[in-house]
This record gives sequence, C-alpha cells and structure tokens, in this order.
Amino acid sequence: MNIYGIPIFYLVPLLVFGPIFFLVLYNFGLKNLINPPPEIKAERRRREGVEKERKSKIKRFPPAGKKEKSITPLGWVGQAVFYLLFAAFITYLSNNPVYQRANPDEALIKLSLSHFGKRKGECHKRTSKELSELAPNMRKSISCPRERWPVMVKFEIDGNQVFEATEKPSGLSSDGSSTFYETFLVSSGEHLFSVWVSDDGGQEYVFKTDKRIMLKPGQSLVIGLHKDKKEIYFK
Amino acid sequence: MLKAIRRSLLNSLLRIEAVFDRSFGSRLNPIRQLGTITFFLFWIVAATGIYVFILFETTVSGAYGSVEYMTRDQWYLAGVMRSLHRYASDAMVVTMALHFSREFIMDRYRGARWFAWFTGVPIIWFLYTSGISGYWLVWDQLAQYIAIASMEWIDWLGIFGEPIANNFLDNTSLTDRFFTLLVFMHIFAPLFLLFIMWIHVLRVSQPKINPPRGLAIGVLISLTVLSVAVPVASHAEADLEIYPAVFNLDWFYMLFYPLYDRWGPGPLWGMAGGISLLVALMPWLPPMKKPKTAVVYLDKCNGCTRCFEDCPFGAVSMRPRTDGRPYEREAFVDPDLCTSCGICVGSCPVSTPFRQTEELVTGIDLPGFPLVRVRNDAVKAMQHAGESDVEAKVMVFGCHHGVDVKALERPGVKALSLPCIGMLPPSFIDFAISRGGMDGVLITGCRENGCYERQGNRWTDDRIASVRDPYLRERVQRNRVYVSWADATDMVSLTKNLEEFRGSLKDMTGKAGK
Repeated sequence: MNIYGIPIFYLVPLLVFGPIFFLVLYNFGLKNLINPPPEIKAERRRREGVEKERKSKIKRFPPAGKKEKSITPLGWVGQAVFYLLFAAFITYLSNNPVYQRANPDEALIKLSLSHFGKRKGECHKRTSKELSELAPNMRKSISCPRERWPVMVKFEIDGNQVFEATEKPSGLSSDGSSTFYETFLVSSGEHLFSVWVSDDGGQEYVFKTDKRIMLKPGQSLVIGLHKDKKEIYFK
Repeated sequence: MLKAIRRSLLNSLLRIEAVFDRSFGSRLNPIRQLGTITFFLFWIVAATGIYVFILFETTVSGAYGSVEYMTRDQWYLAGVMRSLHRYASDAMVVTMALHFSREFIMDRYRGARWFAWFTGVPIIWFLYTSGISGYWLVWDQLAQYIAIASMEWIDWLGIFGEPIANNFLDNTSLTDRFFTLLVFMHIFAPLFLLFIMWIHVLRVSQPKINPPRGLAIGVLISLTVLSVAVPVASHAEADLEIYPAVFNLDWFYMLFYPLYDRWGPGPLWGMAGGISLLVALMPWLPPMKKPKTAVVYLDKCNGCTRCFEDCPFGAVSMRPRTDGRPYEREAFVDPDLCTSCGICVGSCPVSTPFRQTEELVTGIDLPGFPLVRVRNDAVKAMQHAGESDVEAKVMVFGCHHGVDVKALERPGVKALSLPCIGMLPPSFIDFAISRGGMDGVLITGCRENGCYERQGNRWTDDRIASVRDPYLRERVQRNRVYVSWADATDMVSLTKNLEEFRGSLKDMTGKAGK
C-alpha cells in the first residue's frame, strides 16, 4: 500500500522512532523553545528593550566616523558570484577528479584465515583426588592447558611466495584464534595459488592446498578456511 | 620565522576579508562567520538526514534500492534532500577547515583560547566519522570501497579479535545486523559531533552559533539550487564479488583513501595520529604567550557587574563579598579564562582619568598594561601634540591588532595603542578633549565584527552611543569623536579618514585642517 507513491512501511521508522525522538528532544530543551519559562521571557523582553534603546541612542549620539555604507548593486553581484563559486567548488570536488585505484585489468585476492593453534600441552584425565579438590561446578574430568601454538601461514602465487606470517593466538591467556587478513592485487588470467597452514609452531603443515583459478578482470577472490569442514576454500 | 609567515598570511587574510566586506558588509561577511556557518550547515544536514532516513531501508538488500528510489522516483523532494544532505556535509568540511585556518593565522589558539582549539580536534574526527559512515549506507560500489578500506584501517589497531573487514569478504558475509550497526554509527557519530560542538563553545561568553539571517538564507539557497541543478547520484550497486577500480570520490571526505591505497594503514594512522596530536598540543608549543591576567582591586570594586557583563570570554564572575565591605558581591577573575584584553578595565566605572589621586587605581586592572600607564602615556602624548593655530589636534586611540596607530603620528596627531580598543574607558575621550586640549579623538581598532577579542569594538560603539555602561558623557560633542574601524592592512584608508576628520574639525575650532 502506497501513500503518494511512498510504500507505507517506509513510514514505520518515523511512526515508531519519531515520537520517541520528539519526547527526548522535548525534555532536553525543546519545551523551553516552544514555551520558554517566565525568566527567559523576561530576559528576552529586557534584551529587546536594550536593543530598542540602543538603536534610538545611536541615532541621538552618532560619532563622526563613517558608518558602514549599504550594499551597492556591485556588492550584490559580488555576493552572487561568491555563492556561485562556492557551489561550483563544492560540486566539483564532491565528484572530481576521478580516482582509479587499480588497473581495471587486475583482480583482488583476499586471504582471510582464522584458526585455533594446537594446545601447547597435553590434556590429562583428572584423578578422583584432583576432582575432589575442585569446586563442584569446576569438576571437569579432562584438564587441558589453555595456551595454544601460534599459527603460521605461507601463501604463494604461481610459485612465488608473496606472504608468510606467524600470528600469536588472541586473548590474554593466548587461547584464542590466530587471525590473518591480507589482500593482493594480481593481473587477471589463470594463476596457481598455494596455501600452507601450520598450527603447531611450524613443525608440520596441517593444511596444504594448490589450486589453479582463472580470474576475471575486477574479480574479488576470497581464500579462507572453513571452520567446520577444516579445509581451505577459494570463493 | 613562524611569526613572519603568520604575519604574511594574516595580511593576505585581512585583504580577502576586506574584499568580502565590500560585497557583504561586515555583518554578513562569511569569512568572519565560518564557525556559525558550520553550525548552520550541521542543522541542514540533520534536518535533511531525518527526512532521508524516513525513506531509507536499513537492510543490505534494500538500502541501495531505497536510495535510488529517492534519487530517481522522488527526485523533486527526497532527491533534493539527499543532495542537500551531501552538499551541506561537504560544505561543513570547507567551513570547518577555513575556520581552523583563520584561527591559526590570527593566533587565536593560545592561552585562555586553548580549550576551543583543543576541542576542535575531536570535532574534525567526528565530522569525518559522520560523513564517511554516511557514505557506507548508500551501499554502492563507492560505499563498498570506503567501507572495506575503513574497516581494514581500523583492523590495523588490532582491537577486535576477528577483523571487522571480514564482514565484507563476499556477498554472504555482510549481514543486515552488521549493516544496521553501520546505520547506528551514522546516527550516533553526528550526535557526538553536536555534543563536542557544544563543548567547543562552552567556555565562550555569549557564543555566536547562528549566522546572521541574510547569510544563512544565502547559504541555504545556494546549496538548494546546487542540489536541484546537480543532483547527487550513486555508483553501481555494491557487489562484494567484484573489485571496482574507478570512483568519483568525494574529495572532501575521501582525500585520505588514495593515501591509504598507497601507504597502507600503519603510515596513515601515524600521519592522522601525529597531526592530530601536534594540532591538539599547539597551544602549549613555543613561543608560548602568557600575559598577566586581569586583577580585581576589591577596595575599588563595588560589585556593579559591568566587567562581568562585558567580558567576552566569561573570565569574570561575581561571587559573595569576601572583604566585609557593604556590597553584596565582588568581581572575581578566573586566570585560566582571561585573555588579558582589558575590556573589563574599559567597563569599570572607576576607570576614569579625571581622578586627582596620584596613583590611578581602578576596580579591575591589567598588571601588564595598567590603566595608570594608559593615562600617563595619553597625558604625555597630548602634552607633546604641540600648539597650533592652524592644525586640528587629534588624539588617536587604537589597538594592538588593528592599524599600527603610532605610524599615524605627526604634528598635531598623537596616538596610543591598547591591547583592545574595548579597554578604553569612554571617560578618556572626554578627558582628551576637555583636559588634554585635543580638538578631537579618533577611535580605531579591528574592523567591525572582526574584533580580535570578540566584542571590543562593539562595546566601544555602544559606550560612545551611551547605550552601554559606562557611557560617554552627553557633554562630549559627538562630531569631535571619529570612529573608524580598520584592520592592520587599512593604513591608507585610515590615514584618509584621519585627514578628513581633521578637516571637519576646522569649523568647530577655527583652525585649518591639514
């Protein structure tokens, strides 16, 4: 259903937030603007009186100095020119000059990986004595150390290594995931992408993938890691 | 070196202001209203933003379509509102930058003015956050570019566990929930901006936040005409599976994105943080100016409140009497707010040179430029004005920020410069004519509405017109008082006015003006 061409649901935010917004504004001072308190009205009357007196006295006691002349026709033209130039300046820089950030023939690779490194220590099964020493709500039979290994990632395009980094686990106890986010510009066409991920301090690569992909000009390709499937994907 | 550069910039600025004075008149001169225009533009942006928000759909799939609907189907209203919203935001960047530059060139950021300068820095950040977050919401390819670049830039700080740029990996990763968060950012950033703008003027007494009506109408009409003539258009709809390379950037807000592309996030953070820090600390960098602030002499203060009313910086407050004298209140100066302009000295009814006491002490005085010095210098100057039957003798009172009045001195003309012309008690005009033997008094200072100390020339005008206490006594013939507001670059016109004034004194004195 439309009202003057506007879908009626477009008005829902206005109807819901409008009164709330108005009430907030009203209590924050709008009420003083709509119906000023008596002291503000009195102050306004006083100021109006002072201004009236000012104008009449300035006429009575004009100093000999030159008073400002009224604006001449040339002055009005000057104003029009100023506003025109101001508007032209705003319009031009609001859209120009055109910016080209990359060659249109190029494509973007986004390498975005987030992975938990392996725990640094082995988990062990708590004995009944150990369990009894814990608070009842903490009695988990398996105890694992929190700290994890940093994750290492190596990335090659067409056999050339373009990225290699090791990221520490996030978190104060180094028990969070290690995260990588990098972008690369490559020319369009077919490329071979190779990704290695190690999550045990670089002893072995748990993920190794090579994939040949044909990239179109202006394409954005994401290389990520499926958390559930535990595999590297190209999308 | 810096002083010489600033002097040269100041002279250029004053000449530009003079050109605008000729077209607009001093009251409507936009160069002197840059701060108030910025406030006014904010209200335009807020009002148009509310209208645009009514028609805006806050979902990833609907945002672009709703903006296109406004631009194409309802171009006559929503389209104009959208364009006005954008152009007024752009104009805000311009007026803010000019306002900032003007205050720097005029050296108005040290001492008591540090607060307004310092709070101006977060205003820049919030203005940019407001503007850039608005561009995200259009959700076209430009929005895609700057949203991703902005998120990558923020991610460099490492404050989020997962990079927030991951929300823009592909078309499935951007959710309506995250997009709504962007909408809230665009609502809350301007609210914070307004809050900081309020804090920015908090320590200024009687702050001007609205431009004169004529100027406001001019700005609104010009931007509205612009919005109708050159309506804002979007780029193609965003698609996270492509990598758009060519953009029509809004350079007012997106100037830093090409730098981001070339330098990366670290150097850009270094530049943004470094410049912000440097600008914020400028009030305390050498050469520091620490003039002695005004001092109240309670034995001469009866708590009349005139200094409290006239101080342009709210440095004078009234508090209960502390010395046991039979007055209700006494003036108190907050040294942190005082710019040592001396306007309070000019407003004190005790500041009169007619007193016969050896030591002239007033109710509130400037230790660095005491009233007794003003009287002694004026008396000395008038004594050396010489005797002449053919030339009219004129005493010139000026200020340190206007024309160098000492350069006007010649036989029959003596001059005295004050920190601000508002420091001159009107009784000195009477004194110069009735006791000093001068035929007339010429008052000068910064151009009208351009007072370095905000209100000096206005209060002086009002005191001479007997509107504002302390009044210039009625017995002083007003045709012996010549007011000519002139900036430092207006020496030629001021000299001409002086000679014209001396000529006009001929009939009154029987002397021939030179």
